[in-house]
Amino acid sequence: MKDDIIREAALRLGTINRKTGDRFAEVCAGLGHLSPEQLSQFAEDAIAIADSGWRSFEPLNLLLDLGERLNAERLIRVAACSRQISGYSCEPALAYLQLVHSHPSMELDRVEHPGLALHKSYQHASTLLAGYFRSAAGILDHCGISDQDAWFSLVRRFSQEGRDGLQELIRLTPECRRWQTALVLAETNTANCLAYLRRSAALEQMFAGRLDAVDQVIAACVDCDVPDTLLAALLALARLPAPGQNLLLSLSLKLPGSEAVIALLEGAVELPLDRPEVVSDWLHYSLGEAAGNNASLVAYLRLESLRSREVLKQFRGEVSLADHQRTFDLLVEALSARELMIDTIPDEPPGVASDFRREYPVAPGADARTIYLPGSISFFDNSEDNFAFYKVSIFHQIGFVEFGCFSGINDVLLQLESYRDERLAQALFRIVEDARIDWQLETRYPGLVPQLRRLKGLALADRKPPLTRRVRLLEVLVRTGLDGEMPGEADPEWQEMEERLRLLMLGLSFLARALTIP
Amino acid sequence: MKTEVASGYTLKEEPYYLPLADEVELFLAAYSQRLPVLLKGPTGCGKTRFVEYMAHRIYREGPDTPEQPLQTVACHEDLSATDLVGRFLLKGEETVWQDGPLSRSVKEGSICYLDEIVEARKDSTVLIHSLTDHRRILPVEKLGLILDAHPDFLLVISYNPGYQNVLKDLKTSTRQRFVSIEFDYPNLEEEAAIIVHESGVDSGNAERLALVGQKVRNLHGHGFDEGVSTRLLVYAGQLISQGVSPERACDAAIIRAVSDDTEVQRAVAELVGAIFPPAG
Repeated sequence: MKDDIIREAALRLGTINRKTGDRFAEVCAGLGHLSPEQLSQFAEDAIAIADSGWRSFEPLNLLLDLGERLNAERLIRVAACSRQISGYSCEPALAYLQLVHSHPSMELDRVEHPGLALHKSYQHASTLLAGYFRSAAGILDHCGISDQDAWFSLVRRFSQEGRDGLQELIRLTPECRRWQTALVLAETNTANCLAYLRRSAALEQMFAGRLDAVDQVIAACVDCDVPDTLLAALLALARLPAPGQNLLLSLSLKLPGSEAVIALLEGAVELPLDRPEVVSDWLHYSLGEAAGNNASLVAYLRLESLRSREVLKQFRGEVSLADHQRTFDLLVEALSARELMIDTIPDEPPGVASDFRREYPVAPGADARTIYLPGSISFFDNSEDNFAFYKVSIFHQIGFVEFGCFSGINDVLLQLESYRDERLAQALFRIVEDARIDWQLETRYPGLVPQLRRLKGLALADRKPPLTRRVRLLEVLVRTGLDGEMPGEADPEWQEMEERLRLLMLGLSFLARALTIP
Repeated sequence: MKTEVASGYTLKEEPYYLPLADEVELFLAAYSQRLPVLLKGPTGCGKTRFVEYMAHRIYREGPDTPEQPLQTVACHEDLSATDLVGRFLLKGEETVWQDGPLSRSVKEGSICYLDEIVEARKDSTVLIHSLTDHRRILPVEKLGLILDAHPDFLLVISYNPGYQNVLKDLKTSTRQRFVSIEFDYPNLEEEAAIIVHESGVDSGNAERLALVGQKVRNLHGHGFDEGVSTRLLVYAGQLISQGVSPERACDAAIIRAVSDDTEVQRAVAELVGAIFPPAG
């Protein structure tokens, strides 16, 4: 009887494709332990698959291939499922059988049930169904068991909500590996989940190795009805250095909702992320200050509130020119006996060479009527040192008047005219005169010495090794002016320049002589 | 009738005074002709000390040196002619006349120094007119007397144009009776020498105090018109010489004294902090 069933089915299949019929007979010969009923069912399923339409022999051949790899019960079950999803197109069955082929020992219920439910709901959506099985194959290949479960749950969830969302889920599946997070979002709103999936590849690329932290933030924002904004804010962190990103992610978890997180991330570019303790203190203060008022907290975190900016300034020790303008005006007047103005450094400070501006964009400067200072200073982590920067800058600028830069300028200009290179002459003058002023300040204003030396030390630490011989020569002067030494082997020409500056420092020479061409 | 005499300033020792220009010679020349002298200058620049010095110098060797060679009166807005000339006082069962400092000076032939004269009431200003021209007399209405000034008598007044306003300006008819000597603050080296002498502080700190004074005086019109006086610098020096840190001494004697404006105080404090080396 078994032979009859096999022969009859093989003949039937042979009318479609002779080789397939022969192959069926071969496979069935190896399924001797099946009961006649089971074998009959298998044959019916095979014939139904073969009859289902164009290229139908392809899934059938694949099914027959599986006959050598699956046990009889499993093969019959796979055949039955393949039959169910065969019809308008061979693609769903083909995708399903390929999935079984690549994962022969997988739990069939887990994959089949959502697929069959899909088929039931959208009988003619063959592309969708095929996509589901192909996506499932990818999920089984690349994701852990928890993410696999999350994905299958998502499929079930999206199946209930319409075809469009489901299609997008299937389309986006290859781009995501973080399905547990997607499921958390979908539990509130499937649109949020899709928004996440659309950006998941970008998130993965940007936060490689740190996705757990990102997912925690996203999961903490399930209340979010603007996931695009949240995700865009997360992706916008790309412009910040990685330690800053990590800091913001960890701080985001301390915030009470998505709006606050978005506000923090969007305002982050203005935060001193290189000083995490300052940002952390500022944020904790904000939580206390807002006292549960979300609008207030958002304004605070976006740095839109004056209070927020003030608190941040305090924590970072920032000192602004505007806050101390009158004190500085008075100091300038006392030192110079002139009504000089103090202003913030303009884009194009008069009298400052363009190459110098590029190198030192915040360097204080002065012209005949105005001293230009940075609008705010936060180089140091406390306001005293930042204030001292302003103070030393003012003394230095006034020093040009106080220590006779202009009284002997004609002799100096005469010396500078003898240089063939005007820019070199200007650079030399600036370096030597700056050094001279600082040394004079140390003598006349000993109270400034600690602050001056600290600033010189910082400037010295920032110096880069010079490349050319000519620049090395200038570097010697700069370092000598900063009370430092030139690393490397001494050069007789350097020593000559150093010696001239030392004489100037000791008050045993004057500017014009120091600038004389040997 | 008895006359009660208040104890006065005897100037037994020569007061320290560092001449800054030709003021000593000019004063001596004026005194030799008994020309009244007007001293103009900012607060604490040494006007009073100068008068003391000149009084000592003029009277120290004379055979008729008065017991009190200098009568100094700090004028104020309630100072009347009576306060200068004298008044009757009840003492027990008697009424006694007490000469005022001006009367006493006129009688004894000493120098009468009316400090900040424009602060006094107008009647007292007019009173001095007859003493400052060729008449050299002092009417004492309450006694019905007119006193001729002693030949050695000299009237010296001082006046600070810096902070005294138009309402309190010296009348032209008064001003034009005096030889005027103008004072200003000493230069850096002179002021340091004065501080060393007066306070006993070392020369390094004295030079720094003088530098503070010089810089602070550049701050015109910020709630204080005259900056810091030499007197305040000396006070600061005295505190330092008593072991007070320079910054604290300057805070107490200079910064708090020159202005109540916190920003001015901050600016001056920053200046002081720069001028003095850090503690330790």
